[in-house]
Amino acid sequence: MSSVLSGRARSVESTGFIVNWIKFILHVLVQILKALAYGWIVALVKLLKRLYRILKAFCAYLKLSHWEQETAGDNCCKFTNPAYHRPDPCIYDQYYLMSLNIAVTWDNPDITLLRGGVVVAEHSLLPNTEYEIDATIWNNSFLAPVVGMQVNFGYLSFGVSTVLHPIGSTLVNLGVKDGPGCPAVAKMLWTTPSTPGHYCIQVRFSCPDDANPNNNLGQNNVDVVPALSPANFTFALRNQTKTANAYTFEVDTYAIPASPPCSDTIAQDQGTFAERLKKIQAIHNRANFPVPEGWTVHITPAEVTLIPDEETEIAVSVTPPTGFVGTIPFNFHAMYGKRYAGGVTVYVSKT
Amino acid sequence: MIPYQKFTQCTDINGYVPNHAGFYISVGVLAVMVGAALATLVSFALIPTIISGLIALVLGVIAFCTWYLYHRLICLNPTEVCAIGVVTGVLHPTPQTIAGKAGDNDATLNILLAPGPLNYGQDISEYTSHVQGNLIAAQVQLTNAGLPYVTSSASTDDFNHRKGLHCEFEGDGIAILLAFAEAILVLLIAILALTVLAGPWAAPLIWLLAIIAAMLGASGLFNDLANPPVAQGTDLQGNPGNVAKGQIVLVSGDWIYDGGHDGWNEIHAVHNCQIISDQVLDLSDSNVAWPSEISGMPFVTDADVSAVVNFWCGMLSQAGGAVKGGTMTNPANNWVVHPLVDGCNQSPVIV
Repeated sequence: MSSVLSGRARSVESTGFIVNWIKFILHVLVQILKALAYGWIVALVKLLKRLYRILKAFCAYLKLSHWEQETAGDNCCKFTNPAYHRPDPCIYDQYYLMSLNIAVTWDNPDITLLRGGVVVAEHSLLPNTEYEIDATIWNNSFLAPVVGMQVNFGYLSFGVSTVLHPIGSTLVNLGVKDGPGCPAVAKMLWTTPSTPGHYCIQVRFSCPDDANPNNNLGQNNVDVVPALSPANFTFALRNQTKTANAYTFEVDTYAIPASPPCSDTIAQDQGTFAERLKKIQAIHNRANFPVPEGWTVHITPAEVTLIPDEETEIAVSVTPPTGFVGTIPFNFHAMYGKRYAGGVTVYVSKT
Repeated sequence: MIPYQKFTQCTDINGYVPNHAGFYISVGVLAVMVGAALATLVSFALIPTIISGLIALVLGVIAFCTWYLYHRLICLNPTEVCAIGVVTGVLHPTPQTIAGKAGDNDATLNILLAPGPLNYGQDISEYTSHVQGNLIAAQVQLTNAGLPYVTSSASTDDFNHRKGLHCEFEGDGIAILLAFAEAILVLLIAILALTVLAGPWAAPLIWLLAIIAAMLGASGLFNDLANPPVAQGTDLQGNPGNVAKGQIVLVSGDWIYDGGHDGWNEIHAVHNCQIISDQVLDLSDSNVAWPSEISGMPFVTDADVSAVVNFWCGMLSQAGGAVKGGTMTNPANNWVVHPLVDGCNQSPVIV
């Protein structure tokens, strides 16, 4: 029965197609008749007017000296020749990714801390101790390298939009995408403050004529909390804007998924940036990473209004389901209106 | 995305044809001779004679394009050269410039080379005596061969090309014009043959060919004039940058002597142009000076400038090698946001 129906549907479709085709042919014939009757005169007048404009402009141009001709285009328009290349140094920039509506983790994969050459966890830093911060910087340009780019390092109290304390700057040379020197690793020594506590690391850089200056700020805001019943922790929230804002919070359990094999992505990775972004958003969609069933998360206060430069402490309580064993990342994002102020990632762990 | 466009081919001195009246006269005589010979063959009947004249004209166009692309520029170096300078003028292709240059839609930059003068008012020796000065200096092998360089007795505008380095970003205008001319030539020959050899039955076919030839001719004539070509920049999100007066740029490309003018050296075609400093020099300020540092390196003495040019040139060479090695077609490099967000894992190659 269904095959009979689908056969009829196809027949109706093909009939519609034939009618459209006949309409199209008739339209073309009318167009040709119009062109033969009087359209060619209209077209000719248009062409002659166009030619007149070009000749007039050409005559004016010829009156200029050769040097003036070469400088006539100054500041008139964008220079977009394919030999003009722009670099695009980038890092895992949570603010940029959130602006593209892509889920993020505050456990930045491009920022690592080392002591004595060994990677250490950010939540167990010793006071007044020297560590090395490594920032991995990529180039999204196949053609334009970067020489002597300044990379600035800083640290903040664990939290959202807290005060930045500069650590130092270094210069790196960055090769082109997948070429020698890409990614580049910027290294910075950092002696932790004598006050014990938990800190976030921020890495920021800029270069001349950056094709995308919005992907140059990486932040690492991570803590690990044992899942006692419940897991309790706090983080600071600061208003760094110039107006009073009401802040709310969003929670998800997003972690960067493993990259698929290239053979699976070749087809879907074609298209314009906007088309590709839709596919990327579908994969890294926060809605796909909700708080798992059986878990409860309490944020106190759930909403808070802060005046400019005011800072407050946010308390979080995460209760795992009975019998939970393992580690789950919880990302807490602070928002004011529809804008993201920042966030932290906390790994709730139980062995 | 293409790294750069190149349609010309520079030649050695033996393949060079100078740009003076003799060239145009010889091309004209050749065209008239061909036209006259064809007209004689068809016994000076009106229509065939007109077609013969058109064939002669098209032959003249083909001869001009061939000279323009392959016999106008003399190679000065077998490999690409690099230069650092400040932009003093930009020519964006417009209908006027394209018409003024017989269909040539190249975009151009004029730059003053570091660490030389930052205006065009000094003696020529001031521009040629520093570390990059040889790029604009008269080349012995050319002067020995009797080829001219523009001198101070020429117009100031022309002489400025000896003080700064002229850089051309090639467009496809002349190459396309040549393609049009070749296609039209074939059609005209077919029309002539049918007119002379075939009977009245061929009249509709002759008209059809004539219409096609006329359309091609019109397209060729108006090619790019109304809508100058706009190539894509390297910004994947469609935000082209801009090169403007006062910016400090690195330019690499083919170093040639352009015999199409009164005699000067150029970078033609530009392979790479990149803005390498955030600083924009105000060239109208008589006290303006080169920055003391570029790309994190000192930029004061000849040795400093040489070191910066060589370092950048090395980075560009690595970039070119990476592209030749297939980075732009490798699916693993097809990410546009961040390699861990929309990248993929390349399968290991077992050898």
